Amino acid sequence: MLLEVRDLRVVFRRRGRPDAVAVDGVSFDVPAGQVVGLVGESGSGRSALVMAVMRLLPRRGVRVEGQVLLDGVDLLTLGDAEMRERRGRDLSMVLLRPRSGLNPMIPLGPQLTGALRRHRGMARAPAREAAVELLDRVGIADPRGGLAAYPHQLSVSARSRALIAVAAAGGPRLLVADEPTAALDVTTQAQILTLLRELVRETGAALLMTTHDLGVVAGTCETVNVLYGGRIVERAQRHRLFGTPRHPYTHGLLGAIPRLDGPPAPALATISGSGRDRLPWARSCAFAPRCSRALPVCSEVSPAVDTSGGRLLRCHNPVPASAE
Amino acid sequence: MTPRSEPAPRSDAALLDVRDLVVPAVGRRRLRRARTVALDGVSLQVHRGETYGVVGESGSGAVDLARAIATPATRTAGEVRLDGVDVGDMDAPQRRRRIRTLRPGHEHATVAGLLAEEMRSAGLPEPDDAGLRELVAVVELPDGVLRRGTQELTDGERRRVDVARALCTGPDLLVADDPVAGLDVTVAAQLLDLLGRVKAERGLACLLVARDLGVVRHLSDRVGVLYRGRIVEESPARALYRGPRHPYTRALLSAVPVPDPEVEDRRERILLTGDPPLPADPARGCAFQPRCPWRRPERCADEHPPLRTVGTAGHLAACHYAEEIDG
Repeated sequence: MLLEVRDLRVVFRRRGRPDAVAVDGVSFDVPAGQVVGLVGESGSGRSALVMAVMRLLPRRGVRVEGQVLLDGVDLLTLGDAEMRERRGRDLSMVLLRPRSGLNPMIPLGPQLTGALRRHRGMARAPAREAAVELLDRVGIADPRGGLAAYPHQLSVSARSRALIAVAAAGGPRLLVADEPTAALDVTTQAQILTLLRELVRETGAALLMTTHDLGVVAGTCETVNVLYGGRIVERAQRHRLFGTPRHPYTHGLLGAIPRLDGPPAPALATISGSGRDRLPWARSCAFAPRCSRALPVCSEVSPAVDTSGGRLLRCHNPVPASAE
Repeated sequence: MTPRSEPAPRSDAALLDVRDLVVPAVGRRRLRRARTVALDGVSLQVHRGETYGVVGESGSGAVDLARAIATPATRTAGEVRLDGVDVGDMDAPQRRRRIRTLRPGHEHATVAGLLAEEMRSAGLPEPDDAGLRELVAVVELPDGVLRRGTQELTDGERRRVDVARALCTGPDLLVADDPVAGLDVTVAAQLLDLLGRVKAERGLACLLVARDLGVVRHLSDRVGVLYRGRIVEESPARALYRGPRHPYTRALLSAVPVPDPEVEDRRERILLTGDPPLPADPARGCAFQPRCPWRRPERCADEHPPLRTVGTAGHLAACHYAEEIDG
């Protein structure tokens, strides 16, 4: 297994208030060469989880517990220098922020060759050639000219591509992308998702992707983890998850999307309230206050994890499998 | 209850009548110097009780369109008439009363204060307590919210307050500028249901601009697709989503991910190269032609395609070859 996350907890200390548990005991795997999705709305712990995996959370005021095993090595136990060495080389974050992800004062070339020289130990000239290859690979029309271009001279799509090239430069086996397409136009989003899929297929790197958009997940991720309130409430292979969503949250989330296929839905609001209305996992189901299938037991006992039938499910009263 | 209001009894006179609207591109000095336009002769009509959805990516002019309706000063040519009267000839309070723009607000104030201010600026008497309570009840918020500051509210509550602010003057036309942008899916769904209900109950005419094509489909009776400041396709919503005729609309619809792996795996995606264009120097032929997978050497590069009826009545597309692209 390439990446194994075990019982990860991320706790933010807050002055004068009780600690905020952003990630509350999450375990999942990312096999080599696969695309794994983490789906969650705001407050689900999605970003904190990704930042913890990348070890990018500040030390002060944040407690990270559990294990993040990359090829069996626990990243959480590494020293800062060693982690810096591995970041970019073994695992790399795709920072798809077309307006802020690149340094505006430096041409694209040095931003790419820097990563190549550092992580692959290349000399100046070969790094330059490798950078041209990378830019060509991500579909930049004039890769040689692209090296001299400043970010503002490129279009949003080209900048997004360049950011993917920067992330892929060190030849990492794991790419981590937090909301890769949130700020993009629809047609650009389609280009970028296609590129990410191709890159994974060609390089054999794995991709861990977070998003709030179930549509993006449906066509891209082989395994999907649904996060709610800092825990995984459902996990399955994508056909199974979308075909028969069992957790009421997953079920409601799918119903809440105004879709382009099929007849228009008469109403969308299948889940009431917002992510703020939640109970503590320790002695209840966090989703219970918003759940249409909630039973009295849901606010009294924390639901156990059920891993039968090739699916992880954390629910007292799941949607029957035949409901779809 | 359906979110779609009954088709309005069509009188020939539309409530909102936009003719040949031209709005210059603002902000970038380079663009201003080149005398480029964000909207390049847009015409559309919105009837009473109807929702007209505008679809457009960045650079399409969709946002400029939403702004130009209620702010006549931004336009350099064309007409925007409400009930036959040009919006530019109305006094400001009247305009503010009859045309309301729904967009996320960022002011810090109490909800009661915000609503009172909206009424005042529209030249209406300030509402009493009962009036205020009624206003927040319409958007399904409890009375207690009136005394609270907007910064204490959740995103969903905040957007409901925005809806209340838009409705408080009893407008004829609601201009909604990406009403659910940035909201969580479950919260956005609640707001969309609310908007659909309020529209239907009040028979409100609505011009809806949104980036999410699913949102536009969900709320709109008719849809116009903007590309580089021009409407390239206009159609009843049902017909547009079932059978888009303009190549750009086809590419756009095919690019929207559907939350169903079975559909996603079978789908043929029309991948466009390049970006949605910024309003640079006006092209001679079809503005979409450089990115169009169906481009032909004759006509497309030289001749500007007019918006014309294709197929059924009311379905317009600006493409020389709309009929020949099968679908």
